[in-house]
Amino acid sequence: MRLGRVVVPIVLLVATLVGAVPEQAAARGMGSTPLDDIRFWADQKKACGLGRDQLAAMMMAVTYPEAGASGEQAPSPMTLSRYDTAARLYAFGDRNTPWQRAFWHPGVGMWAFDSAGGWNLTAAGAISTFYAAEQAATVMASRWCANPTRSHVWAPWFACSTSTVCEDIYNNIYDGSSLRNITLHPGVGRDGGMETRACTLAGEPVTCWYVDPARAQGANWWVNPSAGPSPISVPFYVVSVNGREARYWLKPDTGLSTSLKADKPITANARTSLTWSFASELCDVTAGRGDCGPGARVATTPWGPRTATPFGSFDVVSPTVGAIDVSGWTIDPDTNDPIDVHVYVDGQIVGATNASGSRADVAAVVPGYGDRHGFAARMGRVAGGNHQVCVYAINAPPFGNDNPLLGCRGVQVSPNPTGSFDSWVTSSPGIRVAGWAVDADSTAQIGVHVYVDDQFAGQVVAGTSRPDVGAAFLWAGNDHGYEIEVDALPGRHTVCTYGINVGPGTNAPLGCKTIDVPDRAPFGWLDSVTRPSAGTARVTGWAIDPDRIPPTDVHVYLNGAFAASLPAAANRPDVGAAFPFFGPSHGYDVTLAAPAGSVEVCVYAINWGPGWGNPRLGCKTVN
Amino acid sequence: MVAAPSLRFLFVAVLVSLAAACGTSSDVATAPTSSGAAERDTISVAVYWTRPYGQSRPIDIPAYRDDAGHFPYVLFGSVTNTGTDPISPVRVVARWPVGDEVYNAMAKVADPQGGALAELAPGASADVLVVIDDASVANSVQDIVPTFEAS
Repeated sequence: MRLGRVVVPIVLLVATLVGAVPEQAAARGMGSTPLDDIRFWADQKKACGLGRDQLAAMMMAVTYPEAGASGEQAPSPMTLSRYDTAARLYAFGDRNTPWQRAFWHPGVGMWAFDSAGGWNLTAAGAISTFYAAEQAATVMASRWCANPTRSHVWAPWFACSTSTVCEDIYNNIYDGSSLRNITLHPGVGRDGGMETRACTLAGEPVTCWYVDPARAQGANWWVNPSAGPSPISVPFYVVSVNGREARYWLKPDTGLSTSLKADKPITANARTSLTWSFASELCDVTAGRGDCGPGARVATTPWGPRTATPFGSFDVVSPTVGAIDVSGWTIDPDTNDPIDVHVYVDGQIVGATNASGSRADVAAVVPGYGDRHGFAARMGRVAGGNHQVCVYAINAPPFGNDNPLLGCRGVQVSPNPTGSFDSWVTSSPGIRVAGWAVDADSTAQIGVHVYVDDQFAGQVVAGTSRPDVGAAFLWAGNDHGYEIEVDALPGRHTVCTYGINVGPGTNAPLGCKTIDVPDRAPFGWLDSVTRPSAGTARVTGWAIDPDRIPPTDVHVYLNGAFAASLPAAANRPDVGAAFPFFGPSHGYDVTLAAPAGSVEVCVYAINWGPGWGNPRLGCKTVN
Repeated sequence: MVAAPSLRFLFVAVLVSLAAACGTSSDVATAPTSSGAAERDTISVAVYWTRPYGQSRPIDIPAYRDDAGHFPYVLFGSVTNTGTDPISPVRVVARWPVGDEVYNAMAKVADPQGGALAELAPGASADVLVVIDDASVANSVQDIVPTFEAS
């Protein structure tokens, strides 16, 4: 779309640029996202026999001469017209205004939508290829349906109405069924360098767009001050309110003593309907620029001054049981107060925390904000496996609206069960073991197997209450403790517990311990066997059962035959001295009838309670 | 139905006093007729482009094609019937205020094939074209934004 009274210079420029291109052979450039937008809307709007790529090619063909993109250059979505010098486009309608660079460019974008065309597009809409492509697709498809010739479709675009350039480009980039000869430019985005920001107008929040020609992506010949008869504007803001488009030129951009504003109905011709004024109402809260009342604070950092938007660092992530531990720091330049951070795992938020921990190291390098800006938190539940963890700082008002990414880090959370073999006690019939176990892949209670000397000894579901575990792993809950008693003979044993896996992963050891299982059988001694008289034998000794203080019984055998049972209750001060816990009353002294000749006397202590067997205290032969 | 005259004869430059033209909208893109609205059809005109007089970039679109070597001032746009009744015949006049005077020119309202449009239904749009073949008139008006009226 071209409208203007001083057409010749720029037309010649464009003609020169385009004329240098071998239209039938060379590839044509296009921003990757703009091409996506074009194809999307071509697909949405195709009609009356038009194919998607056919309409897309017609839409694209217009952009090269209209935006002055030559060769493999991508048309700039931000393209601003430079050919019109109508007085009303200058500040206050004065071509000699001292604010020469506060200029309202009437034609905007890859399709050069000019305000005289009545398009329902602000400059921001004309720049955004998503919105502009919809408009172009709508117009072209409608015209195709009325008269399926490209000369009719392209008639609203001057460049395509006065030469074969668009036809040549169309035939170059479209083979009759598909697009071809397109060089993609990933660096040319949908908005072509325009930035969406949060603003306030007289204190009321609005969305605004910051158009800085110096940031234009794609073919930016039009940025050159000598590229056309009109000035090139300094950066300006676009705001749409109540059906009107306003553009603001802020003092920091103009370098002048006041900010300027011009506005008009969105669909009106700028040449006849602009209203210019001095303005002190726009505040770019994203960047902390403009008429924002008290100025945004500026944080002095080793990395340069920072305003409005939080900054900081995501220092560490470490895996734990079904969770991750994250730490770092962040500061919002607007406030000394701690701000929140949000933690995402694989794109899904898993938690938030407040960065209020002490970080003296941060305070040392960012003065004036205190030291309460650290964060260290456990986030879960995080299933086993490899994950990407990203932390965002949450902006605090009044300036800025970005919640910047502090960083992303990778972490591997074990998919296997985790837990602990905490404690054990020897008991009857062996050992009682205890601990806890969880699996990152489930909040359910999992199984625990116990092995003694590499032999399976028992299993249990870890379901007893362990508030300490629940406190450490909030995602898991309390009921993940285990206790189980397994058999073990007296002696030294290796006891291991294993968590039984759920979901991905494998069973995992919870811990092993070397445990000495004491002999709980009675012990003692056969001191003597004598013949106090013919036909008798006197048997003396002592016996203690470690499971009881009262006397334990002993059995006496003569030549292998049971002869007597008696409690070892006689006074044995020597034994009491040696085993004071049990006391002296553990002796035995008994005289039995015994045959003449050689007699073997054996004494056994009789076990009481835990313990294995009735140990022999000794055998002696008497003649 | 009005027979379409040849394009060259569509151009009529008439000087009238500016006072006579006062009251017309100055907004090209949304130019409703504001005087005599009771009996006048309501239109809006959007201007897509203009070619200055003498600029040797030949135009070749269904609504208009230059004669060889001859380059009049051309304005191309779209007219929309914003009223509730069909407009027939479709007549649009462009007006340029020049000092205290007004230049008037009849515009061609073209059908998609380039012929004169017989009727413009409510809400419908059509191409509109103004051609000024007189150098002095063209040079006087081509820097000025015209207003449009249904006549």
